[in-house]
Amino acid sequence: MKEMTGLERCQAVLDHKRPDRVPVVPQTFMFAAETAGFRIGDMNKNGKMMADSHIISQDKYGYDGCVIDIDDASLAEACGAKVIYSNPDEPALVDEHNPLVTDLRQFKEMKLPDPLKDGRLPAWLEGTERLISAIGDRVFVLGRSDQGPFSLLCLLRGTQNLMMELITEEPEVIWTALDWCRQAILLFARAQKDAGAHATSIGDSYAGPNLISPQMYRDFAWEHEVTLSRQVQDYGIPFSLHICGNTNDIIEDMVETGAKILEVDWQVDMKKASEIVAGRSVLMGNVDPSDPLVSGTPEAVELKAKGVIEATGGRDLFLSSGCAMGRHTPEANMRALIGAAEKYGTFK
Amino acid sequence: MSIPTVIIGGFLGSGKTTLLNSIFRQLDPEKSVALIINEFGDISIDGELVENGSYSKMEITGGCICCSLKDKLIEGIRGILVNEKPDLIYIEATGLAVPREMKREIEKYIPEDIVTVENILITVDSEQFNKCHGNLLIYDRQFEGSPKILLTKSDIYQEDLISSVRTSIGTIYDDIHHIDESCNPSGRFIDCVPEYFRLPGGAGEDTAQFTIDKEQFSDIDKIAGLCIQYSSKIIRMKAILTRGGIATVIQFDGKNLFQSEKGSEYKGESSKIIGFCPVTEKEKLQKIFDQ
Repeated sequence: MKEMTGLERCQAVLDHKRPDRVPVVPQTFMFAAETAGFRIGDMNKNGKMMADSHIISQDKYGYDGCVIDIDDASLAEACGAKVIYSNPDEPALVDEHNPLVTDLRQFKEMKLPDPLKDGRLPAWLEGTERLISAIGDRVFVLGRSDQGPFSLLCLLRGTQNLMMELITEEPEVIWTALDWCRQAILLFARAQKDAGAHATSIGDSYAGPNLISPQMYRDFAWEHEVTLSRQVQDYGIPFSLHICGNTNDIIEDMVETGAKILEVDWQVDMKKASEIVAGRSVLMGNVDPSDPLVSGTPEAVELKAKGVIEATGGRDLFLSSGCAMGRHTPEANMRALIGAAEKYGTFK
Repeated sequence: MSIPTVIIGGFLGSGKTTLLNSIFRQLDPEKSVALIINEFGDISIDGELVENGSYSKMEITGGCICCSLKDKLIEGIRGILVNEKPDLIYIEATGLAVPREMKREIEKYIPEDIVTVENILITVDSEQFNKCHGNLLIYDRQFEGSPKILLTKSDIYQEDLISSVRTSIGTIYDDIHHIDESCNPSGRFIDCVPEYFRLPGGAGEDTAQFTIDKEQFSDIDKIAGLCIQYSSKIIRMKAILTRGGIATVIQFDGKNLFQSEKGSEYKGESSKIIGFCPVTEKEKLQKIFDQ
C-alpha cells in the first residue's frame, strides 16, 4: 500500500476506510510549546506562536495530526470571565472564585461572544489558519473549540457553585444556561471550520464521571452535546467529543451524541469501548499522559500503545494520549508512541 | 525522618480555610510548614500568620482536572523537599479532588521514608451534606479511604442536624471511625483542630469567645458591616438580632457572611451575638459589637 500522509491516514479512518497504518494524533499543545522552546504563557495570545509550536513539534516527531488547544479558559474569557495568568509556564485559568455568573438567570441578558473579536479566540483561529496553510495539506489539524456546554457553564458559574445548583436550582434555568453555552461554542466551532480546521473538538470533562454520575451526565450534559454535535457536523466539519477520566459507563451515551470522534482517557477499556462503539465513531486515545508518557519508560509506552492497537484491532482508531500530554514528556517516550503505531498498527 | 503530611479536603464553603487558619494559629513558631494549595486565587490565609512562624505557600493549578493536576502535586512536593525541607506539609485539596487518590499518588511516587501522609481530614458542612450526599458523585468521593471527619459550624447549626449527619456518616461508611465537631457539646468553641489531628509541635489554645446579649439591636446593618470590617479578626460569628418582632440572623463562617430573616422559632428571644476570635482580639471585639 502506498504510504499515506498523516491527513490521508486520518481521513481514511474517518471515512471508515483502511489506512496504511494507525494514525497518531497526540494531544500535544503543552508538549509542542516545550518542544518549540516557547512558554505557554507567551503564546496563549499569539496565533503565530501557537501554529509555529505545532509546526516545529510535528516536523520533529512526524505524527499524523495536531490538536490546537491552548488552555481551558479561552472561551470562558471571551464570554467575559476573569482569567488568571499567574504562571507563564502553565495554561491560563478561569478565576472560579470570582465567577462571571452569580445567578444562572443572568444568561438571559448575556451577549454571545464573537470568536472573530473577543478575548483570545482570534489568536486561536489565526493559529489554525497558519497551521493549515503551513502543513494542512498533509497533516490532520483538529482545531479545538475549547470547552463543551456543561464544562463552559462550570467555568462561568464556578464548578462547585454549579454542582450545588444541579441539586437545588430549577431544571429549566439550568437548561437555559447550558443552551446559551452551547450557542457560544457553536459560534467558535463554525469559526474553526471557516479557518480551515479538518475537525473540531470540545472538552466536556466536567460532565464526566470524575465529577458527576452517569445519570447526571444524561440529565444535564448529554442533550446539549447531541445538539452541538449535529449543528457542527451539519456545518461541514467532523466533531470530536473529549471527556477525560473513567468514561466506561457513558461510552454508549457518548456515541449516541453522534460525535464522529470520541476522545477517551487511559481508564477506558478500549476493547469494550471498541465493541460498544462498533465503528459508529472513531476512538482517539488512550495512553496515560502521566504514566507512562511522562514518568514511564519508552518500553512501557510502546507496550501500552500496542495494547490499545490490539484491543481495537487497529480499526476506527486515532492512537493518542488519553488527555493533554505534559510538557515534560520525554522525547524518547513520544517517539515510542509513534513507533508503536508503525510497528503494531501497519496494515499490509 | 519522614515528613508528616496532612491532606485537608471538603466541598466549597465547608470550612477548610477556617480550619487551616486555626491550625496555623496554633503551630509552634519554631516549626517550618509548607502549605500546598490545590486551588487558585485568594486562599484567605491570615496574613499575620505568615509572621507566626515559618510557613510557605505553594499553589498547584492548571491542567486537566483529572490528570495533570496529579503530576503537579507530585512535582510540587518534590520541589518543596528540595528547596525547603519543612517539618510539616499540609495539602489543601479543592472540593473537586478526591483526597484518597491524592494520597495514593503521593505514596506511589514519593518514598514513605521521606513523606508520610498521616491523615486525611474532610471538613463537612452538615446542611451541605444533606443536600449533596447521594446526589453529587464528587461530593460522595470525599469520604473514600477512611478519612477523619470534622463537622464544621457546629456552633451555628442545631444539635439535631449535627447528630443526624454524624449518624448518617457512621452508618454509610463503616470504615470512618473519627467524626469530630468544631465545637464541644456545650457550644464553646475550643478549637477547630481535633485532638487526634494535632501534629507534634502544636502550641496551646489561643481562641476566645465574645458574647453580647441585648434586648434589641437598633442597627442591624451596622452589625453586618462591623463583621465585614473586622473579618480578619473574627474566626466565626453568629448573631440573632431582633427588632420589632422580626429576627435577623447573621452568620459569618470565617470567609462569607450570610444574612436571613427567621420566623417563629426565634420569637420572643432577645438579641445575641456570639463570636470566636483570637484571645488577643476578644476585648476589642467585645467593645466594638457592644456599641
